[in-house]
Amino acid sequence: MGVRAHLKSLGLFDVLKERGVEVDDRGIHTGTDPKMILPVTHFESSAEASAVTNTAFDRLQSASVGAANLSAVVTELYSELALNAVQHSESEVGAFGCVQFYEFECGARFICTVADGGIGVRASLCRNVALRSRVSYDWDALELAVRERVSGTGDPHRGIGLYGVSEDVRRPGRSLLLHSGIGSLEINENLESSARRTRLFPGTLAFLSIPT
Amino acid sequence: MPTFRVHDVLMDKILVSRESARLLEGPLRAMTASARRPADASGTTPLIVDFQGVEGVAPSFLDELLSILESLIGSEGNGGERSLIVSNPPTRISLKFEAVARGHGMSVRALPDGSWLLTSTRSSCP
Repeated sequence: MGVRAHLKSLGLFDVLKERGVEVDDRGIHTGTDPKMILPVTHFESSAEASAVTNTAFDRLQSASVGAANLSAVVTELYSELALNAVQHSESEVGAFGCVQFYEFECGARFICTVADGGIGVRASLCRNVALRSRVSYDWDALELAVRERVSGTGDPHRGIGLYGVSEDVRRPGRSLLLHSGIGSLEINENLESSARRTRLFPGTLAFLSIPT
Repeated sequence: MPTFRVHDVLMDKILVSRESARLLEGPLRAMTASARRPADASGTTPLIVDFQGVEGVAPSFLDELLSILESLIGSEGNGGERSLIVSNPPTRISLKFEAVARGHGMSVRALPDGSWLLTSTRSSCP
């Protein structure tokens, strides 16, 4: 499948057209792509994030790809990334997410992506006065955001979602990449996290990879 | 022991949001009020929340459920021990669920039948 066909199968062109972007995708044929569990889907509230998550779960089950118990694992992790986006990003364009199944040479994987056009992790954490002095840079903020009970809300019961995702990906073959502003953070199976400066992403993007 | 079936109220297979959990508050309050017998007035009888039919649960949902439990017990005015049994949990206990329990002054452990037992780890007395 070529790049154009892949982007169309992702649902990217439909999302752009829904938002008034002129896209001429005539003649780009994708056929049925069994690997597309959830095309790029827009959501902007917790209720919509919940609905999208349950749609992804139903499609994972009916697609019969990967081990049966992974459907719940994939969707639980996806749900936390989706909730974070709608609850903390303050994104004027809401959030977008997709779930895919890929068969790479090194093995099959689920790929979950959630992105928003919001204020970014650093600005979100700075809402909490107690954290301001600890987040000088975007990459500092990402390192802090994956720790237990760290939240821009200051609510002692918050700050579990991203911590939970980061702990769940510290298993063989799994990885999480967070990109916010000019910072990125990668966590993988080796119990390592690597934060660094990178190119600007105007908002926050989370990329999750889970082997079958 | 009073048993509350989540799937009787929420149809979703993956329980995600705090808003979803809040939909349980009314039915939970009604059930605990009707089930409370004089012998249970101490509030030490664990409430059983049955997740049969649920395939996944996010920490946010569980956190809100525990907040509701705290609210229910607080409204009884007994300051007693808090305990909750999650039967037919859709997933195994992991660090994130332990963290959620800690946030409410509770610990969580697996029972031989796979259920989770959440109990308060701190006294509610000053």
